[in-house]
Amino acid sequence: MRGHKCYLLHPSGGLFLFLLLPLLFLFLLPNPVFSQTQSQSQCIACHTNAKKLIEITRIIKQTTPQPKKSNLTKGEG
Amino acid sequence: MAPLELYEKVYVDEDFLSDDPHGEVGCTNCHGGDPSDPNWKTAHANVVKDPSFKNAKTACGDCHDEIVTSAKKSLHYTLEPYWNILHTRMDTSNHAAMQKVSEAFGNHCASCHSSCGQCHISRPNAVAGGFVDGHFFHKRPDMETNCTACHGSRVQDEYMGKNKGYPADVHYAKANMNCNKCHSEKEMHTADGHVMSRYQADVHQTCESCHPDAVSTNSPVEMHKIHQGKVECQVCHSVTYKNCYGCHVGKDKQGLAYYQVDSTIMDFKIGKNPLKSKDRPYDFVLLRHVPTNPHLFDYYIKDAFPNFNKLPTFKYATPHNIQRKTPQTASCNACHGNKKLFLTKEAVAPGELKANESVIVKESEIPPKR
Repeated sequence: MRGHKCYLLHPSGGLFLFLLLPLLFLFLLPNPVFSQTQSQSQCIACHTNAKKLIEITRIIKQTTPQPKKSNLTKGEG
Repeated sequence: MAPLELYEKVYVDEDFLSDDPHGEVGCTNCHGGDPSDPNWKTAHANVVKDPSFKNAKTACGDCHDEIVTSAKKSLHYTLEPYWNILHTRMDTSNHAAMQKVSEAFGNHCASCHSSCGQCHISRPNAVAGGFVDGHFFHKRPDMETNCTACHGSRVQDEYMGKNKGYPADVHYAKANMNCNKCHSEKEMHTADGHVMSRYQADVHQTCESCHPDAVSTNSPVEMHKIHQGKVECQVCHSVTYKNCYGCHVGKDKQGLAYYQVDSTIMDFKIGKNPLKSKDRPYDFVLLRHVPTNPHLFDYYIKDAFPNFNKLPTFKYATPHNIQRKTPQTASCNACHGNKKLFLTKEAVAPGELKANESVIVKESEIPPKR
């Protein structure tokens, strides 16, 4: 082990860490815009949840008149 | 194409939020609504279902400015040829009639436009919409869920061989080519202005862009050399295709819009070229009967088209059912002297003779037997 110095304690190693850490924060941590949107948005909470959507669209089908097609339509469009 | 359940239409794949760059844009930036409101009814007040129509610039223009500026004037977006054809057949100084025709067009025809979203995110409105793939943006529209969702009864049925007894197009059957192999992004997004037909657009696909040998003066195929510039490629390489007659529209007792097409006939007619140009110099081309007729909008206004005969009811056609060998390629006399293949006056309804005067082939003009 003699003569074997810790790399990170070397002046150039310290510089390396100094530069690397902000990059790690930038790329490895969740995108702040995305995580904020995901945690706060009711849109995402609902539209990514199939169970919730099924329940709500069932209510919509029962309470809202659905678009109908005329029986008189005939032939290829 | 199976219809989507209501929930499937609006289900967003969670991966869209992390894997698609558009997922980083907040929902409200494009769709509006209130993302903090836990009540779905009030949260959806003022929500814009398709932000790319009619305001593509706001929704997509920040990042795709050049494409949006052009695509907003493309035929898919504006339906310009329909309007130009209607205006040609109408008396445009009759404002009351113009208003009625606009109303009819809005009720029955206008849903067949496309927006950025209806090609790249959702199924088109004409087939009741819904995400194609959990709100992921697809650079190339899917052939079945997007293109043929609208271009179904003629293009899809011909291309995929869905007309009973008729083969699929060789480009599909043998090469499994999607629509976008020929119909490029540039063609789809180009601003086309006031054209009467997609064939007059600035950017369009041609057979020779992939088959330069076929139009070369050194073509190894003798028939290509003989017919070059005189006969459209499809005249020899297409088979029987669909023609529609007698469309008229109205509203039923419940106020629901309907259309009725009197008949659909599989036929094959060679006629005179109504769109001669540098790119399409042919004397003989295939013609397809389109379902237009003077009574199309009678429900809204009688005699809407005093100039109906200004345009033919048989239109320049490029059926999507190309074959290397067809009944026409069997021999010279498969076409030469074969009157039944040509659009003669006997093949046109008496009421449409005047409209089709410019495309009808006189008996003396049919190439003689060899």
